[in-house]
Amino acid sequence: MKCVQLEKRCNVVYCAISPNFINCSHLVLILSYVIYKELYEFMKYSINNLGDPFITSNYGVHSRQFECSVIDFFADLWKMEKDSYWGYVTTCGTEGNLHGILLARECHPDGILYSSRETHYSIFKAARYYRMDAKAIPTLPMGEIDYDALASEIAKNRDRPVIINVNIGTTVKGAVDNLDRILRILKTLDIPRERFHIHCDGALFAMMMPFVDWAPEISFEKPIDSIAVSGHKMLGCPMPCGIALSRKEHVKKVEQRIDYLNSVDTTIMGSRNGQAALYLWYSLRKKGIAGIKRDVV
Amino acid sequence: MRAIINSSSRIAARAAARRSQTTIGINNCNKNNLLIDQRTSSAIFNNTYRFKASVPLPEDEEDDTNNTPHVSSSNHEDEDTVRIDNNTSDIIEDYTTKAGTPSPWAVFDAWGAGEGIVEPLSAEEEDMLSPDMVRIPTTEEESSTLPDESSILSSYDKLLKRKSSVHFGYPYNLMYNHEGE
Repeated sequence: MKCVQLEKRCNVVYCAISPNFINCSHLVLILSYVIYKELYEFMKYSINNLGDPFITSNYGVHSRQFECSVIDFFADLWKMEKDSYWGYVTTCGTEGNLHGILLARECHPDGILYSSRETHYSIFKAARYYRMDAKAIPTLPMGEIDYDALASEIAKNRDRPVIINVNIGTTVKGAVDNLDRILRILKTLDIPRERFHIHCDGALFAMMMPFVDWAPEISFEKPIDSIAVSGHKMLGCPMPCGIALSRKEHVKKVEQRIDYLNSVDTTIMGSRNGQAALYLWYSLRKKGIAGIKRDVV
Repeated sequence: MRAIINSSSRIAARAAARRSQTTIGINNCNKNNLLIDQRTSSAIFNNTYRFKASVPLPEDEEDDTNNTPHVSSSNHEDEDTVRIDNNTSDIIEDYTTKAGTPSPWAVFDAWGAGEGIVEPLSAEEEDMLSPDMVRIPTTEEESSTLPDESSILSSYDKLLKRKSSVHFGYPYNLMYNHEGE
């Protein structure tokens, strides 16, 4: 019965139900159709979350209440205290990285960005866009950053603030940089908290780590400053999206009042996809913590 | 010597341009008989955009920077310079306060609405979209106290229907003073 309904509604899905055409991407299409069909009616609206998610703008057709709920969920997951965080639903993981590194540069305009060679290209792209000095650190065979090389580079440039991108799952090998070890290096080199900034690129794994036993803990209880994660990977949102989360005090450094929007410009993009926030909210509400844990384990 | 003359003439030219811009701004305001309070006027006339660390280095200082490694790569000068470049008034501390009036589409005054107008949400429907109701639960107990997604989405659909029944509306703030630009 479901197959008949699918056939009526979508040509692509019609191909998928024919045995000759079944492949993984078609299966994803079918699944997302079934999972998200309650939301398809909303595609007729031009939902735009322009401006800051936490401040009302002039545009009424938005999904900011759902976006804030998604941000609250991730803030809780990564152990941020109420009213100490800020974030938004991004276009993708890259935008989250661009935002995280922008905040880092605004906090430490003279800082040097350190990241492993196997880092996602968006991190070095951010360094290029923002004219930052960046150093690509060699990696260990499993893809983690080479901690000794990192320590040696930081030691060489002690007179400049340290900005580190910690990979929570590299693109090809899925390597996770050991945050605790990196923090130990900073402590050993006597770098005070106000002289370093840590961004975590958690595109895939950042939302899985809290559910994996014995996994290194990624949370804001540690001295990290921002996390970026993708929404279309682990959560299976049918459109590219992500989440950027950071400490609230850093965002103050980039915010600009925009009169004609009656809001504040704090995000990388201006107009933002309100559908994505709605889909993320729906996915998280349906799965719940138990559902995500089931998916991870 | 030539460099010094060029540099000082550039500074003089910039100052003159700034003076003339200010005069034009004041004339426009008088002509249109606009009432601008102290806060608005300072925001208009100091409306230079800031481009923090991406500001290019001044030509004259380029060589000096190249000779000294480990000096700041960006062009952040002292705090005062940053403040001058900042187009955000120091007076605005709470960004949630609104300087202008929202557009008619935001408040929905139903101007031009025909028969397609959708009734406003009831108190219960509005409550369904409150932060408390749309929050994502982290425990089973919390989950049991929240409404189901379909009820929330039904209220949300009605809200969007109403908000978009007249016009999608681009979010202009109609009190925004374009003369100041």
